[in-house]
Amino acid sequence: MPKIKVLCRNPDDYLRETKNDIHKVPRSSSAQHPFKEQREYVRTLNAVKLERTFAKPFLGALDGHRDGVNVLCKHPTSLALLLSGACDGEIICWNLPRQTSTAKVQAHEGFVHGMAAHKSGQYFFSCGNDKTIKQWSIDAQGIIGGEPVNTLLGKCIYTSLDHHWKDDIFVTSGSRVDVWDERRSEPLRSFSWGVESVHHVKFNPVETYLLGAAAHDRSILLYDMRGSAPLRKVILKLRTNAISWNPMEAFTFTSANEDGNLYTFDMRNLSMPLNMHIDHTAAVMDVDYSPTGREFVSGGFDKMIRIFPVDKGHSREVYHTKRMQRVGSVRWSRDSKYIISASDEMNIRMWKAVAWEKLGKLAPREKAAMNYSEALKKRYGAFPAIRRIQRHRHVPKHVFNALKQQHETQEASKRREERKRAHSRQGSVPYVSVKKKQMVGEVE
Amino acid sequence: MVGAILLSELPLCERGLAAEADDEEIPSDDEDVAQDVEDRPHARLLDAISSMDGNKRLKHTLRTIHGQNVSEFGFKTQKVDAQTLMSEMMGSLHKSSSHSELKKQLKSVYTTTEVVDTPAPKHIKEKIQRSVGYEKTVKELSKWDPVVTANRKAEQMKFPLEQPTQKLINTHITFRPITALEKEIQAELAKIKPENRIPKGKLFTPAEEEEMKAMSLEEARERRAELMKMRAIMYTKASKLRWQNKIKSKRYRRGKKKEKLKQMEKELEELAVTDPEALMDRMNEVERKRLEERGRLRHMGGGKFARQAKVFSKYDNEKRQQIQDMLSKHKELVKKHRQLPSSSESEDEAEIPNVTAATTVHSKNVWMQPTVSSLASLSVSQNTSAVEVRDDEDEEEEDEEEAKERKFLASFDVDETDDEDDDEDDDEDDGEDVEGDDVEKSERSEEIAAVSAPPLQQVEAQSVQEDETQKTVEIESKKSGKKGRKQRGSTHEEEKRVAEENESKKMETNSQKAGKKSKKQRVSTVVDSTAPPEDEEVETSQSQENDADEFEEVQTKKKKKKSKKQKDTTAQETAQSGQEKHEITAPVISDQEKPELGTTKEAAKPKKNRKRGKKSKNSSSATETAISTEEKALMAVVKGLQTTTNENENPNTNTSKAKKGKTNKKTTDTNTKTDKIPETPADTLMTIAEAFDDDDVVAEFVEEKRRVEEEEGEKDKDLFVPGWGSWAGAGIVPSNKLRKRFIKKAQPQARTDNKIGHVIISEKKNTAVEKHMLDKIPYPYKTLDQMQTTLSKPIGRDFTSETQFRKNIKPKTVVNRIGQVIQPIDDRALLHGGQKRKAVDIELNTKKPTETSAKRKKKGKH
Repeated sequence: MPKIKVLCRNPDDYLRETKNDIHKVPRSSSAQHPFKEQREYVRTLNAVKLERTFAKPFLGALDGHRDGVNVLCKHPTSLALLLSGACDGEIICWNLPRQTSTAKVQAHEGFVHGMAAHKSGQYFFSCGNDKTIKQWSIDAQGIIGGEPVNTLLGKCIYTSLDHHWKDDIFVTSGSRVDVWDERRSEPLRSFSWGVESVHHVKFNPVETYLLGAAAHDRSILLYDMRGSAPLRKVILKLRTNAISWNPMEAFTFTSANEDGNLYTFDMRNLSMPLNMHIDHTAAVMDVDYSPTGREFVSGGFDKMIRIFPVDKGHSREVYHTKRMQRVGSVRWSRDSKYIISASDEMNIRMWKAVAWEKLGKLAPREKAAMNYSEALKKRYGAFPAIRRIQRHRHVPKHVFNALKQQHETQEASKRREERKRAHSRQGSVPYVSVKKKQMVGEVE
Repeated sequence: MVGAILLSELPLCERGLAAEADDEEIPSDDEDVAQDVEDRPHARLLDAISSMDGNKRLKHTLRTIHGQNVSEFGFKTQKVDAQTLMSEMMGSLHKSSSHSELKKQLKSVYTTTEVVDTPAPKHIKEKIQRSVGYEKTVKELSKWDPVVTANRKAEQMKFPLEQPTQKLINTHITFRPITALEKEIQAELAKIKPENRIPKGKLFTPAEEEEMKAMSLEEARERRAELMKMRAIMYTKASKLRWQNKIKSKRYRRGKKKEKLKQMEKELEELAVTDPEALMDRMNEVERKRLEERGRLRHMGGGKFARQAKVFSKYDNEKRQQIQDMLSKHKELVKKHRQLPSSSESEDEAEIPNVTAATTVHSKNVWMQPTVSSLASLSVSQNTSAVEVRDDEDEEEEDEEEAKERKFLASFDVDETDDEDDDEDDDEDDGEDVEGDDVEKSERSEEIAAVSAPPLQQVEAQSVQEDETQKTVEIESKKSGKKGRKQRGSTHEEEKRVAEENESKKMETNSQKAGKKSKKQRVSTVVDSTAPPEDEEVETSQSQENDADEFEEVQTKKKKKKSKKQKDTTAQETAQSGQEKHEITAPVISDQEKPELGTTKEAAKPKKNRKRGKKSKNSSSATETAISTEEKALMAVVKGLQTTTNENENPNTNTSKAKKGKTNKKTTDTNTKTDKIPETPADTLMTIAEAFDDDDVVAEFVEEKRRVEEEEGEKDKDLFVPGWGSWAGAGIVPSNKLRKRFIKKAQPQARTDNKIGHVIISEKKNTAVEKHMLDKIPYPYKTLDQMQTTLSKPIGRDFTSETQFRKNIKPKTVVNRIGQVIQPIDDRALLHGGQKRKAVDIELNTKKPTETSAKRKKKGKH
């Protein structure tokens, strides 16, 4: 046989790798990874950059009110529904995923001051400037009955309203705090302490008989619904606009203050706030806890929405848009994923609670990757290069300048105090905690 | 809407209030506002005037907030001027005879009724109510504390908190027999006694449980007994150790130390046999440590501690002692190991004059001075007859010498002479004291034994000489062998001798004074003068070496100081008698003991030294570092090794070598103990400079700088690529010319340290990394080490196992399902603490699952 020469090639050279060719790489010891830290560091850097790239928190705006939106009310059972009350007395029920209104009701003359839904989600109450409390029925699709089921005529303007977490009881505030049974036309109990007029009242979600309220005389009041007398009053330097109880801790609440700070209190020790949350540059109008109790959101007159970790003094996130005006009300959705804000320019906005989070179902691999990058961020978060990227936010000029000014003012006052201390007798100018400085006192 | 926008300038609630403005409740308010504002200062003035009489009046109040209520603080408090008293009203009753009934009633009222307290005012009452309510609530809320803290600390929280759990429980509960076999078995099972049957929801039969209970109790008892026993043992052991740690006895400590040393020696000997390399390592290690210490010069005495101690030492004997120790330590460490002389003895002989010459030249150099031991040996060898020739001049010299010696320590000593006197007095007066101090004495004798050992050269020199010298060597070797035992045994003898001395001290003479010279001084005088008679003296001393003489010599030395003081007063006759006494005592002592005796007497060398030794010996021995002890041990062993190896080779040199070993060991001993003679700071400074005389530091530095420049500077770049501009391939050698053309020469760099000769400024600094570097250690870490160890363990999938990776990346909060409402925490959490799980028990029927699975199968088929 003659020898035939054939052109022959190695299949490895021209065949593509298939999934069957992917071999399991045996895990090697750490000695074989001389650059392991460096690799993880770079991964962190990339993760942080990606985080900033994907940080697109704004989901949409709900347009439909004809006046500034004053109140927001979460639906107790449906995550898709939201109730909002405007300054012209109109109440709208929204379908959030569709971004449409399901029902519109002219509920009050003048402002709608407060709204709260029954835990069943079948009806809700509203109060307004017209000194009435109205009960409205609402179905699962968010259709509000045309006429109120029940109307209570009060003697004074009710400035806020909240519903009990378990029982058929609601509470209103005005010149005094009234606790109402749904079936009665007279309040079950009325609390008053001096001549203050209370503008905000909230039920404790954990110990449901507890009430927190904010009054005009710059005080935060605590009530026990079961008793006849209020519990305690704590007075700050400026007025508290709203309070929110931590849903995971029975005794912790956060107050939104007129001075642009938020104060977290342990109600068992009111001599000093647990924490002071600084970053807003103007009055904070509303605060709401995440249902996980780890964070809360606040909005205020500086047109910013900020998210604070409970145990941190500064916000981890700031949301704003060019058109958003003063924020009157903010709410954290019950699944802890979204934030809803209502502002003066008649719009309701939806935001993601975590700006860079991917919405929807994640593949396990994706989830692991996300978790890995989060773990890395936590691990290397203190490194300057990473920290810089992670903390970088654009804020409007007025906020930027105000923050700068705030910083300068603080520094100046610190300096002044130091000098004062240096030139006076030892001990005559004591060191006082910044948190303590904001307090006027605790009243028994 | 417009109104609302305008009003939006105000905070929300005020907006609401302003918008209200329909004034139903307080119609007058709005009208009066303007006037009120005007009237306010006026009203305030009126208030001030009206309150001048001290009574509180109704103040002018301006109501700013709407409401029906009126402030409780605005009301007038009425002051009661005149109080009507009971007696005033009823006073007239006494006078009238009527109203007897009323009088009786009144009487009973006065005697029996308890007066009820006036009820508290409303605001106080409310306040009490409030505080009581608050305290109660606070107490109630505290039940949440453990849950809240647990949740805050929790590594991971899953939301919603109510998580269903899937738990299997016993399957037999719902078992129903269906088949015939099953029924049969069931019938059989039914016969089983109830105590052998597993009850519902349990894992064991009652009998089994009972058994287990019994077992566990027994076991528990056993275990308990065991534990008790262990604890008792532990306790006794611990207390014993504690007690041992607190022992202050010097003897005990010394014994312990010796034990340690012996142990070490033994170890080393063993090592020498088994693993010579390890031994060498060990030796090298010791040598290295010593060198390090030497380089560091930490014990120099110029430190902060020394300076401070200087101030306080005047009042604090301990401080002084510490300084002493430090200096001695320094000296020990700084001492250069003398080269062991090689075999030839002639060299050794020649060394003696060399050493003496060196002492003349470097009289101030510590390192160049002969060791005390060598001096001692010299002095020992001298003859008393020669000594007697000396007179008062020598004494003066001696004084000077001593003054020199003490120069450095002068500042530490309070009043040395006084102290010495005290010491002497102690020695003289208290025989008991002497007994009590026998520990010290034995120590002293030990030291003395060391002192008496001649330095190497001396021994070498002597070894060549006549029988007498050999004899002494023999004695020495014996001594070193029996040292430990003998010292202890001889303490009593020593005591006696000391007592004798004390007696004899009182009877000293001028003639004896001549003999009481410090070893050092004698040597220096010998060297300085280099007079022939004194040279002769040395020679004669060597040839004439007489034990008795030596003994006497030493004795006299001890008394030198004392006699110095007494020299003017004491008579010659008494001195002679004293001398006689010594001569009597000397022959009584047996030959073996002689050298030792001599050494014990030598203990009474200059009082200063002795006194210092008293305090420092023990402490110094205690403070001796591991290095020194190890060193000693090593040296001993090495010597031993050498001798053993040499034995076979050269039996002639055998004895001398052995001697060497032993003497060397002793010299090290003496160095640690006797070299406490301080010198002036100036001396030390000078000597340091000389010590580093050999090192050419400057040249080294220049070399280093050049190296750094070379390293950091630009290097020539080879840009040559074969094949560019010419052919390339196998067998083609690219031309050198072309290659040269492509080499880019490095440009000379302008370094910052070019003009500064004595500095190296590194040009290596890379600022690119700076932005990635931390200023301080971030929060959870406390030390850099912590952080590094944590970060060095990467969490990624590539570096760890999959399970570990999953553990590593566990997020802190997890929301389990999208679109699920998370309810606030409730009382159920209190029962379980932290995260609560709802137990959803899945009952598994023996049949049902099979049925369902069958169904499923069917469905799958269709």
